[in-house]
Amino acid sequence: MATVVPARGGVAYRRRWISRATIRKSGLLGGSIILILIVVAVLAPLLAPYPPNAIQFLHTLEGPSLAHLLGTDYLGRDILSRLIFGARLSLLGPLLVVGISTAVGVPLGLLGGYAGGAVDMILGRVYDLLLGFPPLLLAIAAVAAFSPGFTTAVLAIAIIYVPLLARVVRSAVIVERNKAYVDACKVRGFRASRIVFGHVLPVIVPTIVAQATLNFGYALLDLAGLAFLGLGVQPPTADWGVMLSEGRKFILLAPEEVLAASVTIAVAVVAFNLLGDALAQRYSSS
Amino acid sequence: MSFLRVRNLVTELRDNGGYTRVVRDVSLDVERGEFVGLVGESGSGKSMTARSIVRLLPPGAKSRGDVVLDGTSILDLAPSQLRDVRVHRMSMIFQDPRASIDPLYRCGDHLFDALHNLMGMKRVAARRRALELLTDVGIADPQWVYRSYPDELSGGMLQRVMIAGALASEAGFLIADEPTTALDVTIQAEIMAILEGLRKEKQLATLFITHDLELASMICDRILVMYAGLIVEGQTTAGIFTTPQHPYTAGLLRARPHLEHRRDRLEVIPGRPPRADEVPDGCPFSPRCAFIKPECTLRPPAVNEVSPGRFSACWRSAELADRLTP
Amino acid sequence: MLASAMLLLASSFVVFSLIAIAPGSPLQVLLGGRKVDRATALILEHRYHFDKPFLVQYGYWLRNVVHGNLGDSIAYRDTVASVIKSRVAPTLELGLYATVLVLVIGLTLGVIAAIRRGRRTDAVASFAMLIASSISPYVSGILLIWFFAVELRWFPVFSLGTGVSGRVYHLTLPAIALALGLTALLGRVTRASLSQALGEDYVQTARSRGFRERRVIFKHAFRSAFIPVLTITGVIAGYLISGAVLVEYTFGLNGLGSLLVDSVQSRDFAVVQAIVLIFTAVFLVINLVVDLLYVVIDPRTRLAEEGS
Repeated sequence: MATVVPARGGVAYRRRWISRATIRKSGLLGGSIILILIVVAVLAPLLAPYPPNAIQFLHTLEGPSLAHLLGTDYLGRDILSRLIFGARLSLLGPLLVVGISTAVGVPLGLLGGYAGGAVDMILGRVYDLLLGFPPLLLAIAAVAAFSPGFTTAVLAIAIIYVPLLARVVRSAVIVERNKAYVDACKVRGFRASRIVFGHVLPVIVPTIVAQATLNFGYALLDLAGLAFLGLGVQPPTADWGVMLSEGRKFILLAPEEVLAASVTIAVAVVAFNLLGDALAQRYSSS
Repeated sequence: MSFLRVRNLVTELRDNGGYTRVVRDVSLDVERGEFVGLVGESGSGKSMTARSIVRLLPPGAKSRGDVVLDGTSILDLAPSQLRDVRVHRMSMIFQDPRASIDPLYRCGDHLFDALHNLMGMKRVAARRRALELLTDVGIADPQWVYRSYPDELSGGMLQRVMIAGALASEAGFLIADEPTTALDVTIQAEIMAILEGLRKEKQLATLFITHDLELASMICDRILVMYAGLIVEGQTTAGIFTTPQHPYTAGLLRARPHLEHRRDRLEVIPGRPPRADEVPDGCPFSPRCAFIKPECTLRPPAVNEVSPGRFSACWRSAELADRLTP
Repeated sequence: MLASAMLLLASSFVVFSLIAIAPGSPLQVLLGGRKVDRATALILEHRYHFDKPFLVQYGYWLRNVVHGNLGDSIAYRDTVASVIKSRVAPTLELGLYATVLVLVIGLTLGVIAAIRRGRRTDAVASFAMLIASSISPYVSGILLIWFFAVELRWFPVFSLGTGVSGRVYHLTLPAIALALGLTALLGRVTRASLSQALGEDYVQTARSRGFRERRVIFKHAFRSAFIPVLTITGVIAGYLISGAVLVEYTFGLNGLGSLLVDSVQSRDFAVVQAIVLIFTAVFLVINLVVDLLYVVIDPRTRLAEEGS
């Protein structure tokens, strides 16, 4: 899901059901899983038994064996190795998406929230426009215009995620703006930029981090989805979404690849959701 | 036999695995046409006492004791019987009218719904009666209020609507749970005037709950003072102010600022009331009491009739009589 | 309401502008890299008004769209409108099926959970729902295919079936895949908002006056709880649409979603534009209906609009 805050305002309903302790513990679980994934991605060359693109025509679509723990795909490449190397792009993509959307979204949110008035209204309309498209659709259209690929997919999704972050930041800024310490700063003659960056922003950082973590999970899902449709990362590059796409064709004969990719993606996304929820609960005021 | 007779009421709330006792052993009587004030600080158990009487407790809460309204034992009633009593024989008004009236329906519907669906009046008659009730509570333009949504009315107006809603049932017993706390002081006077008017007209037996001793004195015939889930004193209103029988009451009276006698510092009762889960053994007020003796911490206080109509939970009342007088 | 119309207009402008933003001349984008001789190129340039200023082009395009002329499909050598018409049915059916699942199951579960607030079972169930709602339709689609179609052989894979009952049978797995996460989301929101409504003071007032519990729940709690549920329904509509694209592709159904993906891959830009526009319009219309329903359910919104 691409939003914690539903597009038309409202509260994140997840938290009220589950006890705080459960969320905290699951947050740790999520964090650990993410850590493992990062380590795997970084140490891929050391961990993977085979090169990810090593084609072996004599060993196509083999089931799990001692030589190939998860079997091989339709070109004879080791699935486990592709999974391990795939972690690199599959994690890098969301990282870029979150990085870009945060770098753009936070300043916009600060601007709109603090300045208010016409600026805020115009920005709000732009967000409405971007969010007025069903999720992913705008990304698909952008890919159609600019031809499929990793870069296009990342940029398209990053643009769509900007309003998500901007709105959260904006709401938080509005809350802070009304507090007494901001008035105190104004009375002392601080410039707006100093108030915003020096005083308001530090308070908001935890909220940003929580939302960014959740966005990471959503971006992972969306990017893998685009790759799955053949519109993002292109084969033969090793990537979880690509593996889903390629493996799907052979689900009847050799489901290992598609299952491995599905489960990995699901686990990764859940992990980010758990961590993001835990962070949101820990640092939110609600 | 009193109209409402409560004896040894005990209520416990469920709380993370255990139970916390919020009403510890309350007994009281209310006669027809009598306004009895139940006065206490936040957390003293006054609201919970009222809710125990109408059985509006949170899930998991337990009550026991005797609650008899005009001959009917309330705590033993089955759900449908209880509903019947709620419709016809007892009514309640709450603290925050804006939170207590459904904002999605018109005010008229708040009354009409009960008259038509609970009391079986025909539509036309129900609407007419609703407008009458609105007039009874001093609303000048009942048609407009009938049509309006709660958002469009002021707090004072809404409280009148709530009172009208309570009157719709023609019940003999009314509980008013801090009806003016959420309102401005000027509006408070208006609402109190309405309640005073109703007292004369309808002869309701009323339990008036408040944290404001002065407010209770404006309208109540008798006042019961609550502390930590117990009733520590009960007298006529005049008696409470002239000859308090309990150190807590005396402390409350002394803590009031006076216009005439000027002092350097306001008097306070040292410490703070205990939370429901930290009530000490013996008399709950003892840690803060200026007249504490070793026996106070040994036995829980028993309410005794110091003189006709005057009850106190302090076993030293008679002895301390002069020193308690403000 | 005016705002929604403006939004629709602005969205259509964005969709239209993609052709200008894309690398290459608009004609090249439309042709998707295919080559034509100069004569044909000139004819096409004139037909699509590429020689005119940008806003004028937009005007022509918009007028065409309103009249049902969505352009021509390069890949299918037919009008876009007829290509879409031939592939719209499976998407509608899938969407309807999934919507029914989400609404019926999601609301029911949410209501039941709110009315019976248990302890252990709640924590477990809600944790499961958290996980379920994290899984995107294509992931659940694949897992469902594998488990039910391949392993258990309960359902057929990759086909549409014949007749009404055949269709329902074949669309069951895709519909479940699409509905799964969203059902969990709707259930959670319903449960949370109904729980909150049940705890409101006015619900207690109603009880104190002697109304039946069932009546209290239906008349007071439900109506208030419905507002957040309505909000999330608007959001869910969007996910149903984009999810349908993924599910159709996963299950090999030839609806509009897979047409969209094919068209992107075959660089048939006109079709892509048209489908994105249609989907967006549907999404915005649904949200418009949600806005209107707000006013019906909550008189306070109407008061706010009157005030401003």
